[in-house]
Amino acid sequence: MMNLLRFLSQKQPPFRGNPAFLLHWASDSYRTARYILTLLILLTISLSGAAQDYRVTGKVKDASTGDPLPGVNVVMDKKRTGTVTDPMGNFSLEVREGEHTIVFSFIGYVRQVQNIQVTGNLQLSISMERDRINLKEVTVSAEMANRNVERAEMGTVTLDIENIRNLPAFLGEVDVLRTIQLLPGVQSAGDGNTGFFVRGGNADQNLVLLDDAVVYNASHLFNFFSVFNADALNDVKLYKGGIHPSYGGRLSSVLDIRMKDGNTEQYNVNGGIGLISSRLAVDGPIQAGRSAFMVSGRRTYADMFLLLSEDEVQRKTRLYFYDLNSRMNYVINSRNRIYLSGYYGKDVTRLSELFSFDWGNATGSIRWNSILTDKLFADFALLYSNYQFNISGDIGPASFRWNSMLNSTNLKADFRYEWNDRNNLSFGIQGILHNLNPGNIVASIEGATLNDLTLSPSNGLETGIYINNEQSLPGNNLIISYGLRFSQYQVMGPGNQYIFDRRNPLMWQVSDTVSLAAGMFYQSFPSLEPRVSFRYRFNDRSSVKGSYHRMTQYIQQAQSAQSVAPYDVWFAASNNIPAQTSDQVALGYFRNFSDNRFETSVEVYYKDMKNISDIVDNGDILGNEFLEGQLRTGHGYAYGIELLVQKNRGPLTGFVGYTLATARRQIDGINENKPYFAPNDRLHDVSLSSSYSLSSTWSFGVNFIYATGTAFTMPVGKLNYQGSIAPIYGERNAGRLPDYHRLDISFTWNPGAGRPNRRFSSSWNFSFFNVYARVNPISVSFAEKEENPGIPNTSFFYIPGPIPAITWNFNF
Amino acid sequence: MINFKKYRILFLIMAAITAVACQKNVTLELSDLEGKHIIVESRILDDGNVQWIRLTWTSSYYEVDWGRPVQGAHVEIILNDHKPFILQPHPNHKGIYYNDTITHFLNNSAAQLEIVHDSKAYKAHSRWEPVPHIDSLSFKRNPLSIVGIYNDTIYDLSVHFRPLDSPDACYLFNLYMNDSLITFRPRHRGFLCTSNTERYISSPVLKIDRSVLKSGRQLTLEMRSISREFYEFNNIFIAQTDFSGNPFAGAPPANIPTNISNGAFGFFQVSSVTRMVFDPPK
Repeated sequence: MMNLLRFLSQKQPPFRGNPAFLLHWASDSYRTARYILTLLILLTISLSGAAQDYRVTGKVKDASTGDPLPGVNVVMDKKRTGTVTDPMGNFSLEVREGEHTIVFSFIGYVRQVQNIQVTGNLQLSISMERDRINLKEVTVSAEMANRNVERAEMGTVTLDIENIRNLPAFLGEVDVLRTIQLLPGVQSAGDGNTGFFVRGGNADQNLVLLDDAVVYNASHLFNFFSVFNADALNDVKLYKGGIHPSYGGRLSSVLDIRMKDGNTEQYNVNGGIGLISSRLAVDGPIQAGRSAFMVSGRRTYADMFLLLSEDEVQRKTRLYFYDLNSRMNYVINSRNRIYLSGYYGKDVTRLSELFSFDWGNATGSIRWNSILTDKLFADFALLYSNYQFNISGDIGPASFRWNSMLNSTNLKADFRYEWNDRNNLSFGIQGILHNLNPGNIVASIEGATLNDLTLSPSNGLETGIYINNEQSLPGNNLIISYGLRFSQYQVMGPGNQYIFDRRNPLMWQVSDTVSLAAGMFYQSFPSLEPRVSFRYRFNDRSSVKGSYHRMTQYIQQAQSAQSVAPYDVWFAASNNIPAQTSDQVALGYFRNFSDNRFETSVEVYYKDMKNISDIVDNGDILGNEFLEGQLRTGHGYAYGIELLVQKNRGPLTGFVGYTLATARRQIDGINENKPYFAPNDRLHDVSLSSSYSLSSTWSFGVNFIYATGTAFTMPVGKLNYQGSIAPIYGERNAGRLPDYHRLDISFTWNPGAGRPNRRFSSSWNFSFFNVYARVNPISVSFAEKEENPGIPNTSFFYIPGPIPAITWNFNF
Repeated sequence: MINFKKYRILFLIMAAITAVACQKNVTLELSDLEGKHIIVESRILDDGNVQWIRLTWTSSYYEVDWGRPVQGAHVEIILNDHKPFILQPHPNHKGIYYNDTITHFLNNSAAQLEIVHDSKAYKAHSRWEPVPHIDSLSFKRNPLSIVGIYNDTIYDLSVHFRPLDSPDACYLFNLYMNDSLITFRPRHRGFLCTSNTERYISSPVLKIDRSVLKSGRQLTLEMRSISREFYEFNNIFIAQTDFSGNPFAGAPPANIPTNISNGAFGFFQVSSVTRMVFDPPK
């Protein structure tokens, strides 16, 4: 703390002018940030209570796997003083000398009571057993029974991976992103598509993290599957609002996914064989009780059947993906632990020797989790993310190769200071080095007719520093959380900056190009991002919450498809494209019934977005070296109300969500400067997700979704030109496709459920996607048919149904 | 030289293979455009033949028509700021306005189109660009045809020529069989832009079915100079007619740009032309 205060009292920014350091400030913004941070610290000090005598710290983990358990409710002496474990399972409480009782509770686990005698500082290690009876519950919040009422955070949902397995799965592939799409405030990018939009934001405005490393394209197989293999995951948390200042860089949401740690006590193998893929995961101790590993992989194999074809072209065609997750942890001592984790995934498509298109993500993280003092917890991490795609076409004289790559290296330090039982201070710093290289498109043979094309690289340094205090006021009915994040993006060379002649608003022409020297800093985009939230508890069963946050996004994706296509390139803030910001306010009422069996909530929100971008009419963003000239930036806003009712216990569990919302854009140069609906605008969105235990061995799952049809740009006439017709379009996104609705069901048979002592267990999952074969258009086409030129034609692209799937899962 | 976006089709093919998506024909309830608008097509070439402009009306999307003719319009073309040439309504073909006296054209000279109908005036400008001499032609089986994406009888017709001293020259290619145009729709035509004046051009420009290449027929390749704007117009038109609404089709749907003022559609283009007659290869 003293170091922090010393840092805040400095008159000049540290490392100023030295580009080798990650911290690099714009002086005005620095002074403002320092001033506000100082105020926050002083406010925290002034509001803090008197210090207690001793401190109880500890770590809570899963007894069977050794995984740390985040979000466990830790309550002392029935007094409502307590805390919640952090993402690493750590907790810290201030106590007075004497006898105390601490209760640890977490849904899906057996409640544990510890009686302790405090005569000095104390360290506990808590292992919680899974509750086998309630394991099949389908909840979206596997945490303390009334957490939704108690916690200050709102707009946040935690998914339990075990529970997702009982829900219907598209083609048998359990997918966390599909479950997220069912939540209020979250819309799917289309039928069979894992892309998602949160509260009116774009798909690239979601910060998707895997063990803190950014995943830039979270989809396999053109968005049909996500890159997240459920076997490797431990915890999935989505933040739609009230986002903590430790997160930044995206406007709309944070999807924080953590991999499993691996069992430090025994080896486990689990996997599954499905219609399109198989998967296998192994975890176990490296050194019993001290270190463990987890390795998980999967591969699709539909293309292997092509090898049986007599047609040579089909035999040489490839279409598959694979991914590999791994994680290792090592306990140095009771205060220090190191984690290593990595992900590598790749999609491969080959059309004989004519055309190939491969893409994939790679992430890696090294994390050091340390208890520095009894009050101060630290988490240091070095993170790396990579996304690349490679396209090649051997098309005679027009043969080409296109290699595109995006890297980011992130160094960060997060601290949590348990000031006292009323104040929980967190602060941290991070720096991300972005290297965006959209690539060169080069002719791949001698004498080619295709000109080589260089897409200018873009580099930048994104820095962030934050501080936040969660403060519980006397009586514990009111909790306020207030914090500030200061972030900044600095453009770095090498690269080019383009100056556009903007006299024709529909077609900007490049008038000049400025070359950026390697290693030098250029334009800066500083941003102050206040974050505030509160919770006022009326009683154990009801509370009201509110939040305000500002988010800033410095890199974004030029989307050529409805959601995200693998060949969409990321680009950074520049002289033409300013950083995007959003301000969101939300207010919610949370009420539980029947001893927390039923949780209900209603949240209203308003989100205002600045500098949001969209593609100009007839813009061409694919392989365009002057991409920025094809985009326009302007204003967006979204507002809505979200209702959620969930049942957490009993044979029938699940949730029903409803969203009434709208999202619009107003961007000069698009739609004649008039406001228009965002592509993800859906007035009504209803989803039901439920599981019912038919017996000890059979369970039944169901998903039902209803949503207003997608906005689309509607023809209002046609022109007949030289024997062909082309639509004449009206206002952008003024039309509506038919309403979306779909029913999925699943049956899970677990023959070994009645014999818990058996080492080997297996289950069968039978899923039916789109049971009543509803035609839900992904998009609508007005392209005339080759065989019927001049004749109007309208057709829907859709995923046919029903799609059955069967998966055998095993574990030993 | 070849615009990269033409290869979007490959992405679409791969996406179509990957996706299990189906297509279903439907009829939607659509709004109608307020009022009708004029569509302009032009054939103004320096080949000494009759010059004409075709004017038709836009229509409701689901209305099956081939373009209702615009009658009673006053159409004129002004060359090099000289005396206007009036285009007369064709006695047999409604909506076509022609003139057979425009015979002298100058490279890089400008032409201005003026149309007046119902007291509403429409204007457009275009410029004659030179066209290079075609040295030779060659045929090769289309690579997509080889692997079965296209019908296995599709051949690429390549053109070989030395580019003119122009940093941005664009061309349109048509094919005539026994003097009849067989590439009468935009999607059948070839388009090419060159930006490198140093490199000799050898590029496939048209796809031809083998059934066209029968011995005894006389084939003619026509190469017209066009503006970059007309090249873009055709690219967008083809994208609209081929890929509109495809989930991987790129930018949101939008109206095809035009160089004609006052809300008209279509494009006014004047072109220099060169032709090469050839016999089908054996």
